[in-house]
Amino acid sequence: MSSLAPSAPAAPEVGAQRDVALIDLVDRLLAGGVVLAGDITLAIADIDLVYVGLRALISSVGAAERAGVALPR
Amino acid sequence: MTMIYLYAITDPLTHPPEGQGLDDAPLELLRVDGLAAVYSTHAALEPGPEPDALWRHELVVEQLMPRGAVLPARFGTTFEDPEALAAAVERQQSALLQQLKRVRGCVELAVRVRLPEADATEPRDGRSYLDARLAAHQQKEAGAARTLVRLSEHAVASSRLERASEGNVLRASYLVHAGEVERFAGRVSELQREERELALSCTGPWAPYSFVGEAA
Amino acid sequence: MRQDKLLVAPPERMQAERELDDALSRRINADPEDVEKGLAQLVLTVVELLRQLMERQALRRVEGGALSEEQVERLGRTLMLLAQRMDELKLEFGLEDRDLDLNLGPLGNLL
Repeated sequence: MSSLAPSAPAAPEVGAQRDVALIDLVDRLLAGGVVLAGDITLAIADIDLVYVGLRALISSVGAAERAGVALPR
Repeated sequence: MTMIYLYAITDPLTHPPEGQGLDDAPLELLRVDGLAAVYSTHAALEPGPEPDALWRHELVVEQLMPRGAVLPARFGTTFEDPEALAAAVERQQSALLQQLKRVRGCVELAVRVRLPEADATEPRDGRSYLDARLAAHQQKEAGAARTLVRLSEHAVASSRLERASEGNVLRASYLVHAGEVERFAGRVSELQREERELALSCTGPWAPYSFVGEAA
Repeated sequence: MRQDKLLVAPPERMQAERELDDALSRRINADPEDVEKGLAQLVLTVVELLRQLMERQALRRVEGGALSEEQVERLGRTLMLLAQRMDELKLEFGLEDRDLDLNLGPLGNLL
């Protein structure tokens, strides 16, 4: 596929393609990836703080079962 | 007052990758304990998730992938200085090494499946409310069985992304050998042809964000 | 690089736009002008997660078949009212579904 200049979304299809890819990118970069304890800046920290906070909350409730991560084959 | 921004942990490297990081900062390399960390230094940085920043982060990570196993860092991971980064890496060294082994030679593919909208009738009472919720749940799982689960047969590993409030969209990540990407995409296309009521999409290859997680 | 990530395109073009909007907006509102709204967002996100957890567990029990009709009705009614109350609270604080929407990551397994 030929590469297009990022600032020239010519055909409507190109914009839609970027949107679909961007959604998947956002899913991964903001919720996945290695988490090393560091100083996470506020703009992102809000999401991660909610993560950590919720996990502690849920496990203290003690009622949740861990269903496992992998899909059945 | 500077800070550093982390892109990835990798197999040992001799030099940082080509290109620049966020805000066009030069890419730097930290070598510690049989691993390498790629980062950039900034006077001030508030890495909000703007598309350009996200793509730049991903681009840096992807430059590293041909050179060996890569554990991409979550977007927005910063440290006070390289010493702090080195300390964090040392603390989790064995877990990181294990994860590198797991993803070596593999990439991540993303699949989304949109199911048809469920009928939204107002529930009359508790029983009908639960019946409706149960039916919606079962429809969703049936959709997943016909798509996501079948696709997992073609992957090294798979992981489903749950969303708190998303009734009719399924999402999953697949860890796939780098040479198997086309075949996997072909399988998704096949599934789309078989399942006309569903809308499938597949993007990638991505770095293996969904298969590195919290370094245990 | 952006353009060639799409391996299999979804059939409808329009669907991606709303999702993209949601994806990028999915951050907690830390606007100093509206701290209360940001706090409400945080609190309601937790409440919503718990509500969904409870609902999911209730469904499992109903599916299991061990509950009496009366128990099912009471359970359903409580959950229905909870869901309605959440809708009211969201309205009160001017929050949309997407404001409370987390990518649950590791917690997704609980659902």
